[in-house]
Amino acid sequence: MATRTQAPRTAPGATRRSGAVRAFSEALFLLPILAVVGFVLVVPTANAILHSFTNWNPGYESPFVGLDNYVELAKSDAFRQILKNQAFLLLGIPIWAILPLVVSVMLYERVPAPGLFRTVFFFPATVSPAIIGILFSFILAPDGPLNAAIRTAGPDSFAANWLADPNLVRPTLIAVLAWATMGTGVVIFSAALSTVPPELFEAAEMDGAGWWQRLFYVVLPTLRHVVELWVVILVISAFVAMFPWIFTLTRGGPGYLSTTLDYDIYQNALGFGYFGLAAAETVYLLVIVGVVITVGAGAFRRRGVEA
Amino acid sequence: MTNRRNSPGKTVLLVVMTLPFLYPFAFLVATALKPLPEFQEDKLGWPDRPSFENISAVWDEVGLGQAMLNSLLAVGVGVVVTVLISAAGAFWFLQHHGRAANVLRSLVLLTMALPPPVFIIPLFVLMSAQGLTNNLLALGIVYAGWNAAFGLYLMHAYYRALPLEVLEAARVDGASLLQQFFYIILPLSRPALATLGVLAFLWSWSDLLLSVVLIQDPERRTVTVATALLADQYSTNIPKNAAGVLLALIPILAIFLLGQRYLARGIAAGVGK
Amino acid sequence: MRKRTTTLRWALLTAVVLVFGLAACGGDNETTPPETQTGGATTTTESTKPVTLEIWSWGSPDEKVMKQLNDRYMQEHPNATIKFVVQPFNSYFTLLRSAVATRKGPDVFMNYASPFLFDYFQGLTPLADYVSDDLRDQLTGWGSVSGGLKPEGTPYGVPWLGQGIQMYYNKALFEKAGIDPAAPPTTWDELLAACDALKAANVVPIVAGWKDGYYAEWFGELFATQLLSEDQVANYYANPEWTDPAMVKGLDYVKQLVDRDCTTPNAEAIPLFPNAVDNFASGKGAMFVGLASNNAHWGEFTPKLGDDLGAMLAPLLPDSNFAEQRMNFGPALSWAIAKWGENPQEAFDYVSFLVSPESQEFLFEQAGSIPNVAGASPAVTDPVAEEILGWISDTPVWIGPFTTIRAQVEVTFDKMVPQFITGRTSIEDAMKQVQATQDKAPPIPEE
Repeated sequence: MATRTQAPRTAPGATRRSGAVRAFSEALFLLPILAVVGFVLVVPTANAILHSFTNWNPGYESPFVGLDNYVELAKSDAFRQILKNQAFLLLGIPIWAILPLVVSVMLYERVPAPGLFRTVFFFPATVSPAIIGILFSFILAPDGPLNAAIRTAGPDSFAANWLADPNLVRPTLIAVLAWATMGTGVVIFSAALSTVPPELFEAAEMDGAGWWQRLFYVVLPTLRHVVELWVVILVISAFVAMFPWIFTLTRGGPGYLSTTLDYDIYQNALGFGYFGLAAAETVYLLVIVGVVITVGAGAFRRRGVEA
Repeated sequence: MTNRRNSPGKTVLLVVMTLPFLYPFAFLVATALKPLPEFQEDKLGWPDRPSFENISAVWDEVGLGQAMLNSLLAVGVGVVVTVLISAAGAFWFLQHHGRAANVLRSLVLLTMALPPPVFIIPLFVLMSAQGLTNNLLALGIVYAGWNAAFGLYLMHAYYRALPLEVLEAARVDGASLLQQFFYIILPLSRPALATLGVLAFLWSWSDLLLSVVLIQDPERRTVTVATALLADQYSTNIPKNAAGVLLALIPILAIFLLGQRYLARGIAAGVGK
Repeated sequence: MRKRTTTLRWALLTAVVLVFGLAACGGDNETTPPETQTGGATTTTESTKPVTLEIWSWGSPDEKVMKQLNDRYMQEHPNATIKFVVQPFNSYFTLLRSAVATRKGPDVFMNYASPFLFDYFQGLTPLADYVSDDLRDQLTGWGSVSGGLKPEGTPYGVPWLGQGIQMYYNKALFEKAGIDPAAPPTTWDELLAACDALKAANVVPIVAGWKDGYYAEWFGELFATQLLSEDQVANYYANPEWTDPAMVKGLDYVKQLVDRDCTTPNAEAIPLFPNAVDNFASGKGAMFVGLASNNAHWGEFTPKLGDDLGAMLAPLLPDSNFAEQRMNFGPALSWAIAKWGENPQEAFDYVSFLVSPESQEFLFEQAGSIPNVAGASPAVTDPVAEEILGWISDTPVWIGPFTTIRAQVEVTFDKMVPQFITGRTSIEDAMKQVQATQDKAPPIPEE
């Protein structure tokens, strides 16, 4: 879009030197971001990968151990539980994806002050996960307001140990995450919906399609790319953004039942001092994220060709 | 037009749906203003005589005031650096669109796949070898590194959509790169800069993992870490806990109210690609 | 053109500020530049250069009491500034791990007087040159902090205070259930009988909180150790066998109490600190496994329960190896001098002050911390404290595997507690995981 750069008018003979000077001064714009990203992200990651093959003792001698860390993780019951937890979390994706979609469509079909609703839904999405986690840790406490409300409204037995009961802790996490992510989803889908010509929906309505039919047969296909993008974001977040939730809500418990990969990396390194093990776990995480992104990007490209 | 029917049923449903999003905050405020003995009697209601004792206790005792300043420093540095290096880097990519440049850009964007859990432990080890732990400015730079790839993506996309004849004209007139950048590109891209700034602020302010690993000195803790650790100390004094959370929430609310527009626009812009 | 240079100047200025800011705002305690050391570590006279010492503790003994001690130290040593930092207990060891890895942090840090200390070995200064023979004679507990786990080994920490585990009970609640408050249960069967009587009177028999795991450690210490042979107990210092049937059986007795509804219901969601402790203090149950000193002890309970507070030794299990009830008691905490510290002598001087008879007397009187130093004779006014101190001096004292547990092993054990206490995992399987962590524990220095 930008037209070719034109060499500035300079005195003849000075062109070559000013060319080099120009390249250098241009590079000054690029270097800071390369340096910062390089030192903060790339170098440490490479470092982690290297150290995953050692018994890493930062600041002290770290002997080479080959694949021991990888094998230990693969054989560990705790690690297997963690992978199961991650898989369980993925079950939340349909909820985290469909719920904001439904709400966005409702807002799209005129209600008074849609912007106000969007603001109310969006605000929690902007609050730190850690803050929300702490807030919900006392709302969901055994003697907290949720249980208090349940006990006044219904049978005592419905009040539960939401965050400490092994059968409830993971579904509870999914619910809290639904609360926290809905707003972002609503904003994204609302933006996407606003680019859709209303005639599409009118046509469907006139054909007698009910609300849910319209949702599944008109809205979903039209917004398919956006929904896919949102799903990819959710899947990646389920692997790399869980730490603050686990830290504030459950600390990985009971046992390892709510421990996620990223929380376990922290726990192995700073809780146990097993830095090498944590590094190997990091590599496992990287591979998973890489696979997810590749599959996601592949899906986009394919659909792009079809559409 | 006909599909946008004003449906009272839908409105009621939506209002009902907002309740679970409003109640936790109402509960938070009510609890923060309730003295502990009253909370132990009545968990659900509004306090009889709202008092600020919990809030002032938490401000002093836990040093949330200091933590607030610490966060402002680290996040402030982070946001400024993120915006500057992303805008500058995107400017370079605007001028260079050969194959090599595109590959380089893809590589930088690819670093978005390197999430904090992956780089934080080795970064912690490397930084401590240089004596950069417990350093809020260094933490700010880390935030910048974390957000810069996204910033590059955002700014570059925005630049490409700009009408750049003005830039051309300035170049022909002999304007230097710095002048082009500061006097043309930056002013033209203010909305994107604002969006990036607001997003970077929120993401960095919310960060727990990076700050809990890189800062051990209690006096240099950020608000998020201080509030999280508060829960350890006050697990039976929920009102004090709530007061801490409320205080930590206020800057986020402020940024949200001021910057909501940009946020929404930014997310939408990202989606539109 | 003028505008461009101005912009460039601002950019340069910002860059300069950032660079200097990074250097200045950085890092740790700023001590004055080290002067030439005269005689170094072997001087016995205290040095007088101005120093700031950063001390880390997890808030036990009570920090207000510690503040008084610190103020006193600073008065007596005007050149010393004590920066006493209390880190929350739940994050204390994570932060310590970071400090060891970064070689930056406190000059002095609190730890346990047990093999636990050696999990931070890289951060410990060997203290052979600092500890005088007098100090060795004065304090008990050197065997827990020295190389080879023998008192003659190189000390890596200075033992401080004593700690024990026994039980407390609420006399008023016993009366309510028809149990003679002067005759608390002494055997397992009597415990179960008391439990039934209390349940019938609608009183929670034993206050419990399993969530953070420590309570199972305390209970386990009282029960499991009774089933281990003397040799096994001696061995547990260096080579614990967590999967040993005696250990599993001991923990199973604890689980039986839970299964018989003798403990607070749904306690797997209740942490010991502070909830369960507070619950016993506010009369929400008749019995409690508590400590003898410092924390969760008579010092906290007497103000709330007054004359209703009673203490009892752990009941004897049917297959107990103890001939009679015994008091669990051993060294409590230790102070370590950080290897990266720049003022080890001044740091050691401060620690010497903390372990002195005067300081420990003060701590007992103000915070209920039991001394480990000869020559401390604090005034004892609390009858329960008196009883416990009597047990310490009169019954054969012992410590078990949970007192000598390693840091990483404890993390795993605590995690497993809510699982096995509720029966979701079998005790055997839980202990297998604990043993797996034990097998990875780094060796304790031999000397």
